[in-house]
Amino acid sequence: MMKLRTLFLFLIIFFAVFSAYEYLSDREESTAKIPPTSEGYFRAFAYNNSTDNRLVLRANSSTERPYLELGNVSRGTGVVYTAALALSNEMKSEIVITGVDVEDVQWSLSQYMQIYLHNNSDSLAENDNGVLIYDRGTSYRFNWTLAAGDSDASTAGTNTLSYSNTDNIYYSPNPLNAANNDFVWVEIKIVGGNVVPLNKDYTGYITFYYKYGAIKLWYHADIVP
Amino acid sequence: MITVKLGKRTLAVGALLIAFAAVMATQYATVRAQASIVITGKYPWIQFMAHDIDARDGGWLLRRNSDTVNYTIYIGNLTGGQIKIWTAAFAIVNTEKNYTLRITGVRLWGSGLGKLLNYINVTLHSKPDAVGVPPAKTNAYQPPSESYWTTDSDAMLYWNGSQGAVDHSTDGWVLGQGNGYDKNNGILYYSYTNSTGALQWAKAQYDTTNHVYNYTTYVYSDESGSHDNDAVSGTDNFVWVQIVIDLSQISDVSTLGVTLDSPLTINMEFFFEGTAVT
Repeated sequence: MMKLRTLFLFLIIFFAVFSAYEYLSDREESTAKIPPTSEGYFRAFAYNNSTDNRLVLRANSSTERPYLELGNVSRGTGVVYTAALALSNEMKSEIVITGVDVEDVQWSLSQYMQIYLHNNSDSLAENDNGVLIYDRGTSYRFNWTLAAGDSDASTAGTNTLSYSNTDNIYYSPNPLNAANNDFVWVEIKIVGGNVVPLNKDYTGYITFYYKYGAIKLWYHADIVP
Repeated sequence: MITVKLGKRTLAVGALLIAFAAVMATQYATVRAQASIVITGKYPWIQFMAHDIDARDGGWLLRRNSDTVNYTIYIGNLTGGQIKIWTAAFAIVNTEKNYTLRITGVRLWGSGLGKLLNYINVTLHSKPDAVGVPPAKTNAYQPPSESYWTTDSDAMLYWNGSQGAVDHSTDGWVLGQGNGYDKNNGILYYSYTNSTGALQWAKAQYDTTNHVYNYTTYVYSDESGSHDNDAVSGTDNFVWVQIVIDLSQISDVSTLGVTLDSPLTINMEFFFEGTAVT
């Protein structure tokens, strides 16, 4: 009888130990979706045209990362894109944009680049209470809050966006005011001057950070006489 | 030595009742009459608690369809060139009163995920509103920039992208003793350390819409120390789970080998080891 009890006890302990290693766990399930390029929860959409009359913000296909084609930039005058892109929140909660980094890959365009956030697509940021977030090599920490979005990539606030099949990106066909909205305009300015080297294929990355995440965009420009 | 091992595994048996109760009952109910088993979907010994918000509807990120099914979190939509960080996708809460729990590992898997798991990182850390940044180690993932984010260095990396699971069988995050439930009022207790170093109990409420406990006290460790109530390994009975998806180096998402614009399911499983508190 004693042996039988011992055997039962052993069996219980054996299965308990075995089971513990196998099953002492707790499970979760996550779902994710990889959508076309222009439909992320924090994404960018276009407005300004580049010097080739296509959108500054564009993608080579619907699955590729968007990039900024800053075009042929005159060394003497530089260029200002008042709304090179908009940063847009599609999440149904506010998000806060906190910073930007510019990383040069070929040549050093960052030394001549300024970046602002502001409200009116057709206004110069300097005249539109814009916030200077990057100034020729220096990043400034800031907080710009985007209102909750609506999970609909075809809208910006209550405005309807269009989709470019050429540039594979959503864009605004009309001027928009971003004040208190779920998007903000990004002005990119290349400050001209004779010190800017005449080179083709200035390239690098511009990364925008928010709480919590980031979007990284490749840029390209040629500096011409 | 043997006594210690049995002590640990005694709790292990208890915890596994959640998933294993039916089998145990079939095999041993006639052998040991004094065995008592409770099957529950709402009051398990290891509980999850919601914090972050679902991007689709503003409800809790952690949710489930009923009280008896597994939890889900929705972490998309994501695309190339992007990083998304859920700093507190959920908390793991130990409700056992007489045991501490060491979290020894995590496993992620699923079908049709292509290379996606190579770009996912899971970190346990203290402060739900900050980015958990594990100590720098060779080949260990760290968020790309700390200068624009509030960060939390009290963090441990558990899933390291393409490197996979990180073994924490001996040094894993330890959840302190729990305090059970107030079942009459639908309350889960989770502990925190106040500014004077004392352990206090906060009450998580049960959300009957999303079938999940959600935090109520603002569990955040601010720099002034006036409300220093983060999850401290070995003391507090909970820890925040951070999930990072870093596609910043992906120029074309078609290279991930997943079906685009279609929901992908990632299973996540945590492993624990218990120790009796004497």
